[in-house]
Amino acid sequence: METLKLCGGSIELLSRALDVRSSNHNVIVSNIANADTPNYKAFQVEVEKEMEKFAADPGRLRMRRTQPAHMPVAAVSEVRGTARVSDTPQFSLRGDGNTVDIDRSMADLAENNLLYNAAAQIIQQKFQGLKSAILGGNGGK
Amino acid sequence: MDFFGSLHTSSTGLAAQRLRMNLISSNLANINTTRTAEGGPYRRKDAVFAAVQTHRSFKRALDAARGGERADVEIAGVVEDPDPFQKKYDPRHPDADKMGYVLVPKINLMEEMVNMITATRSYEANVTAIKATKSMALKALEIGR
Repeated sequence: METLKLCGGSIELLSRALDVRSSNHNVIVSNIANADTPNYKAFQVEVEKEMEKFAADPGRLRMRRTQPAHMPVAAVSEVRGTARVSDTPQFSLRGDGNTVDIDRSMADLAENNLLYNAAAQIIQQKFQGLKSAILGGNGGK
Repeated sequence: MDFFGSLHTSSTGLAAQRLRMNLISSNLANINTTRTAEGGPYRRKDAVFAAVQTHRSFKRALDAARGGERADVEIAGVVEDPDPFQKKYDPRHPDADKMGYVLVPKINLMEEMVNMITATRSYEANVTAIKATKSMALKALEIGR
């Protein structure tokens, strides 16, 4: 029989995406707040890399199912993206040692915001689908 | 999650830029001030910002250990311009010396205006960041609705 994938699979992946996006948001906000701080070095989270790490990580702790009828359980894993210092811009006319590119930061902020909202919306749709299935369609009427 | 952390970081950014704006206003207002409480003409003031990444409190250390990278802005201090004052010839001024020269603050109007614009833009950037944080937090609340 096809395994019942209620809470496994994509919801797990999407929740990971939300976690990584929110730590990325934190980092971007820090960069924007420090746009005028002398000698501040901008840092960044590489979201795509973090997500790949998640997909390829074999060391995750999984609960074992001893009965085929058990519901699949989400894996326990480290849910933070790790930040690193971003590369110094090649052409910087600033003399204060600050490496924040405000235009890039604002664009990253908007992009990250949109993708976070998209992931949240997909999760919401998934839960709504489940709810609809539980209620037998038509909202149980 | 730590959206509250993001909000806090942005709010430190707002506070820093607001202080900078206050100092710029004060510099502009006192462009001709020759008497101050410390004696002598007004000295141009500027804010020094510093990024707080040191783990001063238990909470910060814990956050850092959990991987929540954040860097708040801190106002490290307000410094006064140590440059000598400008001399202006105005023998009828009550603060003029025997030769008829008055010491006036060394404030460059152009420089202050440019700083004012950068402070405004940085403030706006932080406001945008707060709006983004809010929209993300609200979107997360919608899950499961």
